[in-house]
Amino acid sequence: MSIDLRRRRSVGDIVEKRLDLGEGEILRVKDLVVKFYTYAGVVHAVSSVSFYVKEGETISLVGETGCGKSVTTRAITRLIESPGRIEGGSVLFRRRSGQVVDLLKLDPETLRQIRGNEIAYIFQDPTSSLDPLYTIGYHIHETIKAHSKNAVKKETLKKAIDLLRQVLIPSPEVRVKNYPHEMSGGMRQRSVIAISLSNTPRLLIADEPTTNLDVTIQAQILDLMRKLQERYRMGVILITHNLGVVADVADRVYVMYAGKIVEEGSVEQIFYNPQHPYTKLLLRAVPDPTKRIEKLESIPGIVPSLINPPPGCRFQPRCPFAIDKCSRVEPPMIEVEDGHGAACWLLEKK
Amino acid sequence: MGLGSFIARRLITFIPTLLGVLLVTYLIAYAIPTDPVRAWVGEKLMNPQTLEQIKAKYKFNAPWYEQFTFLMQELLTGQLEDPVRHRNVFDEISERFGVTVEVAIIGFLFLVAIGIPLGLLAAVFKDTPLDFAVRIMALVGSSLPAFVLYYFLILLLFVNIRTTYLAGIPEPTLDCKITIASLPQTIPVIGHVAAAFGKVPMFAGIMCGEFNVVGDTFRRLYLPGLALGLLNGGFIARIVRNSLLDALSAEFIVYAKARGLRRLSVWKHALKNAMVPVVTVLGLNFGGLLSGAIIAETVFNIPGIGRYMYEAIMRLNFPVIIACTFLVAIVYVTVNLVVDILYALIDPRIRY
Ligand SMILES: Nc1ncnc2c1ncn2[C@@H]1O[C@H](COP(=O)(O)OP(=O)(O)OP(=O)(O)O)[C@@H](O)[C@H]1O
Ligand SMILES: [Mg+2]
Repeated sequence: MSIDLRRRRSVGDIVEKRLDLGEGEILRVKDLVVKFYTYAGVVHAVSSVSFYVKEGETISLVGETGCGKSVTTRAITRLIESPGRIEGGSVLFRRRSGQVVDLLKLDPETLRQIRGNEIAYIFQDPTSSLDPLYTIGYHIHETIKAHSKNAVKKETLKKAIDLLRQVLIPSPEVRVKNYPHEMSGGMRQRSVIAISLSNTPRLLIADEPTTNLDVTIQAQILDLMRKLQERYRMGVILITHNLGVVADVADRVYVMYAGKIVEEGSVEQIFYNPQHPYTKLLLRAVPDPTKRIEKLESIPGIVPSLINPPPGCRFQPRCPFAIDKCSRVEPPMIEVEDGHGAACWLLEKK
Repeated sequence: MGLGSFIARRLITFIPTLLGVLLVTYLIAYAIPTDPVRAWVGEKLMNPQTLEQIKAKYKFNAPWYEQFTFLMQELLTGQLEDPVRHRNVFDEISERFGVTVEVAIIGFLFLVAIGIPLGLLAAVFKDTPLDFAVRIMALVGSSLPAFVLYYFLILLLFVNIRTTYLAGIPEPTLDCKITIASLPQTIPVIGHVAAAFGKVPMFAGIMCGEFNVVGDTFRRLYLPGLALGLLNGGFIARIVRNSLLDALSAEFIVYAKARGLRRLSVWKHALKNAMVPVVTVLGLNFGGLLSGAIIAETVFNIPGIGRYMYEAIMRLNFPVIIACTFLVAIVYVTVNLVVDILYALIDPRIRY
């Protein structure tokens, strides 16, 4: 069996050989592996995931629930708590100073200076992200204070009000003194967005930032993120269940399945020319892009257990087009057109 | 805002609670088929006339509710008498309560000094031998009969090493006592409060600048304090450990790290959130200590409320039992109120 090696190479491989970040890139995740050591067994939550983000660009991670989107993005700044462990890979990041560092090897203090300052998060659940005993204003104050020692409360408060106004919270002067429980779910979500913007990060990781918001507010928030992106050349990793949002704001898309990236490409490539059977079924199963991707009931079979992932291709047990090889050998990322790749053996035969 | 009306509302709910506690205590005492008057008077002094007089006074021949009403009247007008000592019960209590407060304070200090650091360590070194040791300590502390620990400590620290003594209670000078007793006449309102605090010898010593009283009190009472702290310290440590681990595993702690907060700020979030359950348990423990540690006061020979209650129970001294129960109930509802106020100060979600 002979495989054309050139076609097997991942899009990421080519740049990695330079041992540096490519033109305009601020983040490059390479072969990231995260496992959770639970009583039930080892959960292979993220298995050799690679992707990159350019300055001012929005990439989107999509996939069914439990496929590893949150774990992947948290691992970027080593926010994986026990029993989870990052077991391999590298995360190259270009700092404001231009210096390129591997976040997985960085000393804790420098990493802390990057967290919340150069790389900021909007966590999936805004309600549990906020400490119930402190006001929104305090959250913003300490986020700024952690990265500039001489921040004064009066100024950070002004900044907080300004940020809350930017994320469209009505009467921000009042809301800044509110505790999380005094706000609605949507307002908490916007507060978390405001907190994440406290230090105008270079990279914003937004894990379902608009799920609790109604459509108008959602559109406005996405618009705000786009504006900030243009102004500060901010890179954005957007996780969302909403394919409409992906189509609307993302530049490139990574489709994840059971802890792996199965397809990557520009929005146009993914939406108009999907290559992986999973992507195709995903797009077909969610004909209305404003609907959430829940469990894809229309794809027969169940998501494999990440404790004993199937050998070969992880989608193979559910794949209507599976061939003999799929259950034995893991398919590599195969480039089908410039910047567009899918991990599927079917493409090899083309 | 609203704190005043909250306290007022709570104070009103005190009334039915206290009355209920008194009624239940009374009914339990009344159910004992015995002749308390014999126990009060003692075999030697017994003569039929006095017996009848006392019986008539306390309405032992009348139905129970008349008896109860009589006790309540005497209690609430402050005239209830200790039929054994022939003195006003409240005078007896106020003489003893000061020592109990001292034991409670010292015991509480030990409890905090043992329970909180151990709990923090057990959380930080979760699932290590240290954590396991704290678990065992809590288990032993709550299942071991208290007196076993008390006598062991006496054997170790009194009999063998002689680091303390077990008789008398350090008091300030007579001059000091007189000055404090006269405070209500010289200063209005505050004088009464100061005099009440002055009932605690240690406080009186501080007020008069006789600080040696404080030192002596600690030397005399550290053993029961240590014993009480050891007994409940493991339990407190478990509460501290569990609530800290809960707080540390909260999503907002991960988010605090994701925001790049310094380690100290992250701990501030965790510790403040862990405090809420700890404050409750510590408050109730302090209430328990203030109500008089009956066994500890008996074993360590401390003339406090606990021993007064013990003696009253031994002699079926119902009026004293009722008065002491009244005191304990007041202590508990007050401590509960203070805990609730602290709660509201820590946690903005709690409305009063
Ligand atoms: N603390 C943990 N212990 C054990 N397994 C975990 C833990 N956290 C995550 N996992 C596992 O890792 C896998 C990926 O989880 P992750 O939260 O990244 O999914 P997700 O793609 O973000 O899903 P969703 O869309 O529902 O947010 C899941 O199978 C989950 O069971
Ligand atoms: Mg998630």
